[in-house]
Amino acid sequence: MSIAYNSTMQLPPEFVSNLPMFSDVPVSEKPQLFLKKLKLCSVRFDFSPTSGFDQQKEVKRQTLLDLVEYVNAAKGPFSETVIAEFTKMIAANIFRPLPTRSRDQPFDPEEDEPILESAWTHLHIVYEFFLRFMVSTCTDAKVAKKFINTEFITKFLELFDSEDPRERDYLKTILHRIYGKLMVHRSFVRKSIANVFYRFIYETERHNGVAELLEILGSIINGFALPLKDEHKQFLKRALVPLHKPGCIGQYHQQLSYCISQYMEKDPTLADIIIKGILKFWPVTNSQKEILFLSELEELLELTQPQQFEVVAVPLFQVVARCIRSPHFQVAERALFLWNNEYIVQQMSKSLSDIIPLVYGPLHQNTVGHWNPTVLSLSQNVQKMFREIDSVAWDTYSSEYQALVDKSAAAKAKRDQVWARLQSAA
Amino acid sequence: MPAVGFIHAEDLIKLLDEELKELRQAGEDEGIALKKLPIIARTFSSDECVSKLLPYVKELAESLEDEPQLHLAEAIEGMAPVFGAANCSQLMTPLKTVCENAETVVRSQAVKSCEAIAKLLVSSDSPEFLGIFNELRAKEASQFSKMSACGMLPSAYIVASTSGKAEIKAALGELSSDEAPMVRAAALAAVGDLAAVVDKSLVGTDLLPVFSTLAAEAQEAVLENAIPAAVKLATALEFSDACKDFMKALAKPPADRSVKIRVDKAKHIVAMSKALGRETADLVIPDIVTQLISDFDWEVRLQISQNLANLVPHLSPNIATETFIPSIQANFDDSQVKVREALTEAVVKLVPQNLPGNANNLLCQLIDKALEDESQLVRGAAISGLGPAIDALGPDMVSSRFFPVILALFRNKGSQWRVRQALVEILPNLASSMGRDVFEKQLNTVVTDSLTDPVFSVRQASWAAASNLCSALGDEWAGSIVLPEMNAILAKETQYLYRISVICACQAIAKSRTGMRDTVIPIIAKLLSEDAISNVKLAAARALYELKQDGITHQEGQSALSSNATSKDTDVAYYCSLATTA
Repeated sequence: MSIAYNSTMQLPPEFVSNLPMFSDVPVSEKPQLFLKKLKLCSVRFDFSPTSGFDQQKEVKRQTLLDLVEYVNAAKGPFSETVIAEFTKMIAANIFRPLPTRSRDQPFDPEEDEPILESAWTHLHIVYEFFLRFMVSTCTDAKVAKKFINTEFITKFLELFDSEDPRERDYLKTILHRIYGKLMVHRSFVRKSIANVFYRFIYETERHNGVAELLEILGSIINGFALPLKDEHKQFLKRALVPLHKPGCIGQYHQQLSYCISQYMEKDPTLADIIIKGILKFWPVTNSQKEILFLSELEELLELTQPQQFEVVAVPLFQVVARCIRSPHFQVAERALFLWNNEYIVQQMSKSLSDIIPLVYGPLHQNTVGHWNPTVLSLSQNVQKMFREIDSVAWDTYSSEYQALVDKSAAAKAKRDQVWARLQSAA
Repeated sequence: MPAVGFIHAEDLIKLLDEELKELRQAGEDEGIALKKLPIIARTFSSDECVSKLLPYVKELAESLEDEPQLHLAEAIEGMAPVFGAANCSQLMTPLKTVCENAETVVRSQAVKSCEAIAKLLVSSDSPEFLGIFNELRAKEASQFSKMSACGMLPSAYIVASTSGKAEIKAALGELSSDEAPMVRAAALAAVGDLAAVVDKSLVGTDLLPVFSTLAAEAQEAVLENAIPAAVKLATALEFSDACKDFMKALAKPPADRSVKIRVDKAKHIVAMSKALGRETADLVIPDIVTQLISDFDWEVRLQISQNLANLVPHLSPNIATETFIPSIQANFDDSQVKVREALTEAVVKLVPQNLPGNANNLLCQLIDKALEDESQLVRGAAISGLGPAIDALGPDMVSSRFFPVILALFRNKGSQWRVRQALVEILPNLASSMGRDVFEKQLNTVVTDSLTDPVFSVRQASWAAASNLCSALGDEWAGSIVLPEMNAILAKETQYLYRISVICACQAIAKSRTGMRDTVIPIIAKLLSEDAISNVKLAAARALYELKQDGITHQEGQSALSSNATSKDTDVAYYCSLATTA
């Protein structure tokens, strides 16, 4: 990792302050000058308040702008030496320790101000330079892949945890270009993103760049050919669906939903994996997350084919039934609003014998005594809807319901008695 | 014949199954039901456990969600001794399913349950156990399975016979070169755990090469387990010269991005210094300390502050004076209270180490500053540590420089109770070091005032202090200073809590001072017989009962207990009759 220089240190010899502009040298000398400017810009400065070196920082800033112009105007392919130096310069500037905040108070993007990168005056030009270099037709992918290798990509991905949204925006765009241009690294990029997600989901539950990574993935998934490869399905099952688990899902839910719905559109048979996966991570105490999940579920159900709907109907409505009975009125309302969706009601009508036993109880309990009048009236409307769809099935279950409740209570009382006796015998 | 007298054991399984289904449907915690599995197991014989219970447990492992799987793994740990050494390996099949779970906490419990089973299978080469281990670490297994396999490495090593251990070491090599970073990270952690179970002669030859390869990785996710593993390796190698190279590579100045790596470095800095040896540690450690003590993460600063004093014996004496003290001075105004408290504790612990040069003078200036801190935790830390510092500084220096401030803090009853508590706790040390004359001039009233402090913790500290002071200053001191004050409290204080405080102080003194028993026990006996408040009588009865438990009896105490054995207050009567019948 490169050192950040401040005024208490001596600058390295490659920092030569008086390099000429590109326009002031003949064409034959420009490549050499380009290399010298790259070496100059490899010196990273400390931007903390009393770090000094203001003049030198300005020299570097101007040199970086020169480099960007040069790349924009370049005509011939960049040599291997140039690409090697370019990569070293980029690495020296961007691979640095990110500022961390106290882990007592994790960063909440809705409440807190992000820690912005103090060296942004240089860094944003470095990123701009990187981007122009990647999109330039003078950059040969076969040469670039040797230097923008797996080690570089691994360190690059670690920068996505930056709190500075400007930096993450550049990282997202550049990684997308790397993915597009360096095809040999595509599989590695996908696996590395999956590894970032695994660590986020199962170990840290903190990462500032999940939304940006998902945005890139959205366009990658959009480009998947059909039929989907097994690797892509495994990625959905092991990395994307479990992203529903962390509590901070609100920060990246929109991007995640897009990725998931892309998968559904490409292969409707994945509905089983997706919906059951979401049900597995259903929140127990986080009502805001529950509402988010219900909205996502409705969107996914609209994309679900009838055969898949029948497969997921039972586990789905077991969860919906619990939501209907939720004391949080927004959760109960959102669950009951599913019956406003004509397509979903139509699909439901094919599995009524499975669904009615699951939702009858909660609907009945709501109409008898939910504290919120809106939920009460919505529950009555849903009951009415069921009677209109199939009054025989509804009324049959209605007559059996009380007997089932009594039987279940009696069985529970008997069990409790047996365990108590066993405990005292033990 | 019903196994438990009223129900067949198989019916218990059905009952449990019904309960689980109901809980699942209601969305409630299935763990409540799963905890009953070990109870059911105890109703079966060891062979019946395998034939009747095990199939159900296997079925459960396949059908349960994450959190219930965690409870199942806990239940399996409880069932292993019931299955016995002959059959417990059969439990590995359901455990395998739990080991494949993606959730870290579920897998950790599964691995812990495997450890419990392994302890019953030492050197048995159990094919069931090792077979499951091999399935989990197979190439085509998921990364989560392989991570569990890494956790199981020490257990598998224990179960394998001598000839099988080579295969376990080979498994470590394969797992450490897996393509998934999380598996390699788990392998790195496993290297440290294995160091505790393999033969010492093999640590350097078999484990160190694997460790060195993994610790050289660029990926942070892997490196985060390097330092704890290195410390375990160094412990196994008894901090010999073999540790120097790998510890030096890890100990380079901390420009690490990962906070966890920096926290680990700060936490294990003493072990790292020990492993480096004095010469190398002198070159490497000071820079690390300087950087960590001004790190932007407070936990890093806290960890390094807590370890500073313990680090000094492993380095040349001048290092502390030239590097540590200036770093402490520069960071003494830390914004975090816990860090300032830890730095203060480090400062007072450094004083008795008699550092060269101007060290003690600089440290005293820091103690002055700590005594003026706005936080009572910091002030309390400064006072608590003064005891051992007195011998190094001399009683005159301590009493003239620090005592005026401390006594002023003590008198301020509006706040700072932790400060008062800290002072009361070090009174016996002060008495031993300063001698009776100096102590009596300044601190006599501290003892007696703390018995009636409004805060319970201070009063509680005063009981032990009174007893220890009697030991340090003698019965004559106690008789002339403490006893009259206690009698005065009983005579004038209407607050019953203070009378209870006197009872507890008398109990502590009676326990440690044979010569004082004839004086203090009658005080307790009188309160038992005559006090109007039940709480006081109860405290007195309990004190006399506890003294009797310790073999200390007194005639007046006994008669008070006898006469109150039929007290209208049930609790008082209970302790009195217990004491009289014991």
